[in-house]
Amino acid sequence: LYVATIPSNRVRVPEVRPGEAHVITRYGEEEAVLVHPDDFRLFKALLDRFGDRLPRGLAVSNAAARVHALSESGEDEDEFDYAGLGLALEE
Amino acid sequence: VSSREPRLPQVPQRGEIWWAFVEFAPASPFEIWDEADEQFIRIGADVLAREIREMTRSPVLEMVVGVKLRPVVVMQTPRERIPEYLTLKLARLEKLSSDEIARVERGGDPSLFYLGSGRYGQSKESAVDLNSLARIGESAFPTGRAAGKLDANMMRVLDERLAKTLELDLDGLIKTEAARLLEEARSLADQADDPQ
Repeated sequence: LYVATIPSNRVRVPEVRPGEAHVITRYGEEEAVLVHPDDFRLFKALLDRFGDRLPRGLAVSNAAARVHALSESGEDEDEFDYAGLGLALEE
Repeated sequence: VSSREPRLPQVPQRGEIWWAFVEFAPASPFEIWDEADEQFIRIGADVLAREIREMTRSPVLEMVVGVKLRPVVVMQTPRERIPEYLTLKLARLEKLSSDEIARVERGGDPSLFYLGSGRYGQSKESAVDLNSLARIGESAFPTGRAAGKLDANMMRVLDERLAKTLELDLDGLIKTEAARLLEEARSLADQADDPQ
């Protein structure tokens, strides 16, 4: 994880307490998340310990959760695969 | 007389990818058919459960559920007289970043089994979603032929990942099989020691 430090006089941030996460959005999309340094240290420790090999309870990555949610709402594709369906229908 | 024999429709086999009509997981509030008012109404799961408990509504309902025609991989074919297939849905990856797709491709995301594009009947980059186990009736496969087929090695990896995803407790099965193999090895060793 690459960590960039920004002095507090360059940005305006709300007060963040332990156990809180402030999600910053842009045009309705998540852009960044502010967490308390204690939570960030825990997050880094988990990343250092498990890396790509997450334990069972944490095994669903953000990408997998997003793909699943998009797929379950029929929004995972920009364009339906009409050609693939046509091949299966022997057109 | 035509020289071409009519092609018999195939039935889905384990490891094959088929197009099928698959429903999305229902979520409250539901849209159900109200018998009394003869119209669809929206109702929350808790209210609906209470109405069923109070016997003012039948536990068997007609509900509007979204459905999509999509490719699935067949994990289990019908068991004897139960005409249903157990499948995993395929999902497209085009909404992921290139870094995320690369992670899926190298097997770094246990919930997504990478299939790529241009193979297995998929023209766009796809993956098997291990969190999407779906039961499909045999009449919901409309094409009469498979779109693609995964090989035995890919199915073995899918089986292992699915067992982990479902958190199946296989310890008893593994111990029984290990004991059987050990007994078999002992028996072979005894035969080798005693050629009579």
